[in-house]
Amino acid sequence: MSHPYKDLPDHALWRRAISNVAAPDLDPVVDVPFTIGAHDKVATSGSCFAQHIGRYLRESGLNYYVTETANPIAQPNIALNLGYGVFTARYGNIYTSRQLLQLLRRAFGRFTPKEDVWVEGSTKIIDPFRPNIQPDGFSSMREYRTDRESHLHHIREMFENLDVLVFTLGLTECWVSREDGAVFPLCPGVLGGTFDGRRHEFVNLDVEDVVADMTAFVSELRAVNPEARVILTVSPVPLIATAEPRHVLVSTVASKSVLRVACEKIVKACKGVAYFPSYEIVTGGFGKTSYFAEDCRSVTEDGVAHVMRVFMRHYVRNSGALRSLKELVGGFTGRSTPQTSEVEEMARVVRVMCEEEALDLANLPKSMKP
Amino acid sequence: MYRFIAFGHSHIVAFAKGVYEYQASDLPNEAPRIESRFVYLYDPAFNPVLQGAAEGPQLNPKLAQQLVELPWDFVVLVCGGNEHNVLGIVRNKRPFDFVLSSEPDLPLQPGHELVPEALIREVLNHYMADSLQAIRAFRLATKLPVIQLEPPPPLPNRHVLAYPRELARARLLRKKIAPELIRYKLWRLESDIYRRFCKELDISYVPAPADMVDENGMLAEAGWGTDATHANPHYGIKAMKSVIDLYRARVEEARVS
Repeated sequence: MSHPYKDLPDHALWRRAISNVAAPDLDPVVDVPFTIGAHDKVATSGSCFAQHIGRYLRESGLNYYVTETANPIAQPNIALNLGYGVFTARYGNIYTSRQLLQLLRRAFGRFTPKEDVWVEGSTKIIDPFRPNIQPDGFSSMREYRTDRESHLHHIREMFENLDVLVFTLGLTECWVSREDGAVFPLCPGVLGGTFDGRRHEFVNLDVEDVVADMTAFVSELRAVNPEARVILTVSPVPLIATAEPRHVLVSTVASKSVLRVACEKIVKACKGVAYFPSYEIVTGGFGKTSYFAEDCRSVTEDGVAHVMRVFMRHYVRNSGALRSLKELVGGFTGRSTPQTSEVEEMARVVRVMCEEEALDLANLPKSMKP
Repeated sequence: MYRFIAFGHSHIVAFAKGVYEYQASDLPNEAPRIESRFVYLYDPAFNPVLQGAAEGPQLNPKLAQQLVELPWDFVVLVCGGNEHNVLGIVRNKRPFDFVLSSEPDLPLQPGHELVPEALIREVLNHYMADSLQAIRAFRLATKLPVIQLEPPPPLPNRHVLAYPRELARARLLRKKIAPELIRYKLWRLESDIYRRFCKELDISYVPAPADMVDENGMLAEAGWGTDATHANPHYGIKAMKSVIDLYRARVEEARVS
């Protein structure tokens, strides 16, 4: 008797795709709508996890596109600490779809937030839209204004010239200005500014919001760069805190589910947009190993390497770049690491610059603060 | 009579020569008398200046011994001070400018890349690290009052170009040297780093003599040394007088309180 489940390919069957597959070989990508060539300019943006993707692309032979580079007088570690090269431009983490959309609109002069600077004393000026880009903020208003002008120029350059944008959606929860809806990457007051319930409100984006934001973003991106392709991922990194009146685990699952469903809808609605399942590889635990560190939040280097190995296999055209990336992830095959060695596993945890950590810091007992 | 011992890198030379000139001159009765010793930190006899673990280095015992050999009233440090020249003279492959937070209205150089002051500060910190560690080690090695001299202002470009021997051929240098205003800003920022660092360590910081800074913020001609980056003994005398004035004020202040 014939039926739709007969003769299904291996990837459609749990036993063959998951149960009988060695942990490091789990590969949930079936086909991709496009691939990346060695000369394609690959831009990155998104939440903390996107920093890992940027790091791998930067160290591979791929053409990792950086428009806002540090002056060569700066040593690489200094440049990195000041946010150069972490992403394509120096915008820090972009956690939500709305933040990305507003970034594009700000760059092209279609949106100018009313609350666009936080002043703390005469020599600490903070950009509300990248509050952690310089540990001590900008040192004068003039510097802040000129730097931001230059920053927006580099963002325009990025959107106009990139070939592929890899965007990692991280959160649905965000804080916005009641005045004009401007989305802050962090709640005012955490790393700058002053929280004021009359001026700031909490918004938790739902599926329709994310789809609308991203559909508008793709459309506006194509208006300046018709050939631009987009790869969406969902960050596997759980929420560090929730502003919803519920458990942070429940909020995490709710947010990630919204983002995952939204991606499904966006990919169906927009040509040239793909979804890459880094979330599934890391979060599910279906590879019979945990890719989370002891804090159940940080993604281990093995986890990142697994994600990038799958990314490379499917998205990067066979070339010198592919070989470089292959060598890069080769050291993290997963098989080489005994699963019982938690100490070793912890040692592989990659330190990422997460502004969200400030939320944790704020809640530490005084004696524990640095 | 004031007794002090001074330690320092290259800028100590003008200071030492100035003090020696002062001591050798026909001093009026009311002029303060000085007894001093100068230790050049590049002298192989005292190297390495710091010993031990990188995170908590100790002063070379030979230098520590210098601190207690005589009953000094205070210690003068002339550590570092040329780091701004690293960026202002030979390292600007992609010409840059920045907004100096202490004087944010200073003009910006057209066509130069604007970089955050924080980046310049970090780069200067990188080059200043050894000097800052040395300052800290001296502070930890003695209970005497410690005074650090502000580095002299940069020399005007025309003077730098006239003395290119230790830098590069003049023709190349001409293309690489930054405009004076940028070199001034670099000097101010470097000085700010030293000043803040000294404040944290309870080290007095003596600014460059006001009359040794010209209207463009460069070293006044009366203080030009015989190379591209250093001051002369006349500047050293002025700096010494500033040091003595500061020490006197501290002693007076202590007496009153």
